[in-house]
Amino acid sequence: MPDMALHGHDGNAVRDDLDQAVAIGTWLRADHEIDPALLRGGQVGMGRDPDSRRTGVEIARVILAGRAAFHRDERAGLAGLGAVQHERFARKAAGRTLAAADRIGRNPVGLDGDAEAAAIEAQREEGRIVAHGAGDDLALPLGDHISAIILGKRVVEAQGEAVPDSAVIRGEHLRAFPDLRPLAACDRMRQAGGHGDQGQRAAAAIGRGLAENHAPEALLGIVLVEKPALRSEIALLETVAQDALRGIDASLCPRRCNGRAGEAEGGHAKERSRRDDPLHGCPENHRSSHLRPRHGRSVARIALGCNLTTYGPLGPAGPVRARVAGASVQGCPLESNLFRYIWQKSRAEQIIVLLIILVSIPFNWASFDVPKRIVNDAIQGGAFKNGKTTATLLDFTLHMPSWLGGASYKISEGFQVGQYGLLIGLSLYFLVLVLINGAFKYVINVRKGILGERMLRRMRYDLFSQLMRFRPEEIRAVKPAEIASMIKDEVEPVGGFVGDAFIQPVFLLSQALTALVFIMAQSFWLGSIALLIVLAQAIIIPILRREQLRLGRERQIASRQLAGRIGEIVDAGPMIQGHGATAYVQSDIAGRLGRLFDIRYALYKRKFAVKFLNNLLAQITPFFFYAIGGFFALQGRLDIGQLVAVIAAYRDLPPPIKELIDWDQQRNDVTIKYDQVIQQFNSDETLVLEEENGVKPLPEKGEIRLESVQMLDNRGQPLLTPLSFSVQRPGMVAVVGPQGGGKDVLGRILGRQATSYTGRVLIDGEPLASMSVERASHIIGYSGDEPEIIAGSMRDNILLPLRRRRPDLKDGGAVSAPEHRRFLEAIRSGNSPFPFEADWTDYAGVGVTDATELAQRIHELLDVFGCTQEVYELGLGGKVIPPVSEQAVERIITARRVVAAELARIKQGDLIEPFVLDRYNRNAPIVENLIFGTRTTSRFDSATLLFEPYAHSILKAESLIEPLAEMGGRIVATVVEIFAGLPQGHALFERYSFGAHFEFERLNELADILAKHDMRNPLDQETECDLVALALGYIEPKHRLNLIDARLERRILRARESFRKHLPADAVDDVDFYDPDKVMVGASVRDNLMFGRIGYGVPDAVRKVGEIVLQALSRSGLGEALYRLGLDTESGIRGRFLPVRLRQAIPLVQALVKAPQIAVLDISALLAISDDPETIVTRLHACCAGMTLFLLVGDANLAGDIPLRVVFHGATATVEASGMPQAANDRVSRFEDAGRDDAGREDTEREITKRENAGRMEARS
Amino acid sequence: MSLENDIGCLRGLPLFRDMPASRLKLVALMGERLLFEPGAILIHPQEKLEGVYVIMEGEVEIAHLGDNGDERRFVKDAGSITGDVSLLSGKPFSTTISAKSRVLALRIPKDLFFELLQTVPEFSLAVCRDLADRVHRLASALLHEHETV
Repeated sequence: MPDMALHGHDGNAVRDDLDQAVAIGTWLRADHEIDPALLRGGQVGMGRDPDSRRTGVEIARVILAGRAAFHRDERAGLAGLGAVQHERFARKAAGRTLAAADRIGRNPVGLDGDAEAAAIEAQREEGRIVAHGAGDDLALPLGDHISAIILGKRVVEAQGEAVPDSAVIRGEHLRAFPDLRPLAACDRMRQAGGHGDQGQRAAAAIGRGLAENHAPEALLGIVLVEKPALRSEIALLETVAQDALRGIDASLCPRRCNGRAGEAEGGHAKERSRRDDPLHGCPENHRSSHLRPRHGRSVARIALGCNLTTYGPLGPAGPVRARVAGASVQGCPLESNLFRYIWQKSRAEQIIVLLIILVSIPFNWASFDVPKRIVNDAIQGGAFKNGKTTATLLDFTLHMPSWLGGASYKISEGFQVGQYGLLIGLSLYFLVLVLINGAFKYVINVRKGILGERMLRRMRYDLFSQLMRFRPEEIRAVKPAEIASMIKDEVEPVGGFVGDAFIQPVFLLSQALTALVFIMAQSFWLGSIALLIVLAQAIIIPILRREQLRLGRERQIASRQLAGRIGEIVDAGPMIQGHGATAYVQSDIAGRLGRLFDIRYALYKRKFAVKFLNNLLAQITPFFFYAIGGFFALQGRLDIGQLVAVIAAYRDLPPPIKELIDWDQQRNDVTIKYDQVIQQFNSDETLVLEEENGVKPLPEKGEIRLESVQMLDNRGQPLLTPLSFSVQRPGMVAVVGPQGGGKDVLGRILGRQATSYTGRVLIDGEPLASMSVERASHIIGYSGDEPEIIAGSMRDNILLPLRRRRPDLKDGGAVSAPEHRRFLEAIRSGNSPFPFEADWTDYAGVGVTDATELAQRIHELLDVFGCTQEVYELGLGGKVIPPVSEQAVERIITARRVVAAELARIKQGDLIEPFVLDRYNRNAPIVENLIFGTRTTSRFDSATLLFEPYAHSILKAESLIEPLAEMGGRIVATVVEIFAGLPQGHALFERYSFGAHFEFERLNELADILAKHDMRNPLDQETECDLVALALGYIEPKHRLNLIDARLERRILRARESFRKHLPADAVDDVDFYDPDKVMVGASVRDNLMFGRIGYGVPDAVRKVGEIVLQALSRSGLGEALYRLGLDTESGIRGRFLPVRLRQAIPLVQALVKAPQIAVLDISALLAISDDPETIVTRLHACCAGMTLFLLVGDANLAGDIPLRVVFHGATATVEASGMPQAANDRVSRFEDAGRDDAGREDTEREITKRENAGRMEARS
Repeated sequence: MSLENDIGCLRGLPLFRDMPASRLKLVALMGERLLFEPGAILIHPQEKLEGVYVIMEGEVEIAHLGDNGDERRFVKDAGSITGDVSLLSGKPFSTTISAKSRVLALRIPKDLFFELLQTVPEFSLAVCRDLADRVHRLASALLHEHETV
């Protein structure tokens, strides 16, 4: 049966359209695609009016064209295909049919309003059409199933049946299928019902799907990649895709406003007018702008391009193919052809350098000519033959070429010189020529170098920009070290080659040709010999070097992989160390290095072998010159001067040839390297980075809708099962679920960190996937379960989302010369000219006027998450490091006084014992009392104080050494006694430290020494030093060994005074004495403010002091300064220097500081470590009042009273909407608990399904 | 004020009576000697406890604000140990402990407390006795209440 349609049908033989259509229809009918009765014009057809008959004819034509394309490939005649492919072809043909019909259907002829209204009504009942705005305004994207509805209706009408609801086409079935294969979808549709026009509907869906985002790629990509055996069908697919392209072009506004940007009118009228002119609803400026490829179109193009480049010569040949292939890399600014890229970007420079080279050629020639003249005319006296005693030098005549008249002008007469004069003159002339040639070479090389560097800069920038356009999943999939190695190292030789790409061959060829022609001019035979050898070199060497190229490519890949592997290992370094797998990992690296070594070794061997051969060939030629040239000279056919000149000129021939061959090698090498790098950066789907006219905020009210959003992992397991719900803007949604389940996936999808999902997320009808990066980042603020904190201060991290406004380039006043030069240079290399150090902060975009207001907002946001106290703590703990500004010093001193006053006021005098010069500070160790200053270097360290000469002298003068040593001895005895026999001596021992960090063993040693010590002999130096070191750390209220009495205190005070008075000049930098009016450099802010030591024995002293200090500061207005200091704390990589609460809070603040209209926040981690999670949630509600907030929590109770909840169990979600009575909610939560145990599971399931349905109904309305 | 005084004081407590001298010294050294004014709060409810408090001088009051608004108060005097129940069971404190008069307390950090329990059998015995005593008091109080009600 199918045969009837097969044979003899190609485009040329279409005589009677209808017959053909019938025949094909019969064939198609055999596969239940289209009822041929419909195609029989005049009787049934797509309707009873003549217009619809025409429709049928057109459909048939389309099918025929497709078939013709198919039959271009004779090898795959339909008869030869298996049944499966047969079917597949049939389905595709049907798809094309209906795609065409779809397009035609957009301009239906004679559609009556009632039928259309009925169709629309049916759709609305199904919930497929969402009414926007006021009244009954319809807002459907163009190309939607209205046309398919109409077509379907007509089909069914034509069959004389009533229009059931199910006759409308479910294009959305397509989206619901997880793998999105239109073919498979069609299959399923067919299985779903045996009605003849089910296939039609499916095919209509396919046709519509081709205008959507994913189908072209699915269609082409999946078939091509997965079933390469179907190459024969590529032609058909291509034409299908091209039709789709054309359809997309015609119907979609480039800005995807879908005609809604125009004025809103009444629904049906708008529909109709839109049908007639697809761009009717678009405002003028959309239409006038150049139709630039947007998502669907570029995808199809790229798919086409992939197809062409992968599968070679199939498809439309000639300029079309070239164009499409070029368009296929449209997403990537880097050309695939290196030479084209170089020429495009650096044309002007290259031409200038070429011109310079051209100008230098005559000078080159002249420098060959002069030696001849020197030898012949001057030395041998050729110019003085025939009795001439003088010759003219420096006579120039300008000869006009014949086409300008042929006249000659004498420019200078020159002057007469004798033989010696001629010799010297010519030699000087030669010297001048050498200088000129050298100057030319210099200029050419410098220009080439700069050219190369500019190109390199541009290339690196383009690669990096391309990286920024990758989808988030792709960015995560690349190894950072590999990318870094590629951008930095692998393109370096490409940059170096750029200067040489066009210039070098021209230059070298000119040199070589000059020399060769000169030799030829002197003697034909010698010249031809030289030419022969040169040709031999030029042919043999590249052949031998091919192997080198292959090895070079291998080396590049292996090098890159080494870099990537090292990066990976360093990342996981501590873990590898912890498990002791370091030797294993080292052997991996050793293996890779070994491979690199082997490649290099092979490369070297070959390289030097080739070099040897090259040199051999080059040096054989002089042999010929001497032999044959000398022979000619002896015979008189060649004069000596000529021979000498030839040999001299020949000296200049091999180098250019060698360099040319090297250039060729480099060219091959670099092309390979370039291709390798470009391949890695070529991505199929890149994001659009920027909006052309700035980002317009969303309107105040709107809707966010999720339609069958689903995500699978790479094995096809669901990470998120199909989810649909809608949220009114502004509003709140609580997304509840365990960590690592669907909740995180949903968060990532909403925050646009995951883009490989199926289904749609529509924000006010605009798909999230098609938003540009800039727009999405303005509108959505996302903080998820994997927060990233980069190195820099906390403030840098928080303000990062605001650094999005291009700084004003003309910032008041004239730009300085270096600035201007920098700017120009950046533009010339295609780099961003905006300076990094300028202020990129977008104050206006988030509603603040300047930096102080912004600081205020940051403070408020951190307060919402309860982190204010910690920031103050960080501020207090920050060290005061030089250089300290005057202002800061003043502020600290003022604050110090304020704190002291506050302490006096609340009568907690013993909380802090301040440093007073003539008082012993009981809460400070002895050493601090002695030195009474900050030790900035380790000169006066406790452990070695006794050995320090100055300190020793002071101690000796006050005869403090013996008492201190004795104290040390008593301490040792006590400690040893206490900790004796304690198995865990160490842990408690640390707590009781004396500031000298002694090991327990050392103490035992000391105890032994003391026990054996004979009172008569003095102690040895080391022991004494250690004992004194121990004693120096003693604090009476803390250690309570009752070792210090008033007398000792007085002595120490005296020692303090003398220490201070007699401090030697070279120790001035080592000690910073305490002074109530000076800042303690190197100490923390807290120490500076307290200017004393916290008293031991007061309960909870640290906390109280902290509170008092903060109160004092805020009362004197210095709180903000401290807060600022706290925000300046360095975060470290991944925030490792920050307390854990701040580490969790900063990404959340980042998301909110840019005042987004949609916030997606995962606060489960923060709430888990907070003392008061409910307050944080309440504050967050208040803070995000005007936004749409998606709150991701782990515990449903923390979600508060948010009405709309999406509850996840693993990957599946149930949507619970409000409107349920309180009691029901209670029951629900109790049932949730009950569901956790095994009993009552049935009940729970029933409840859950009931809730699901209820929720779905709610969500859908 | 000095260590010797503290040691003497500790030795007087029934809890520490049988401890060897070195351990006693350790306790005296490692413990934090804290002075509380009358009315000052030693332990807040729901606070995570970091150590036990040995009351050396003075009296402390245990107050609990019940559901129906009445306060129940117990008084503990010198020589008792507070916070051990919470530390041993891991549950937070449900009452407020405040100083009734001027209180001198020794705060033994958590790790030292457990160290002592493990290495000094006399100490653990003494703690057990103290706990048993308290349980007995609690039980008799409950039983008596039950009878009256």
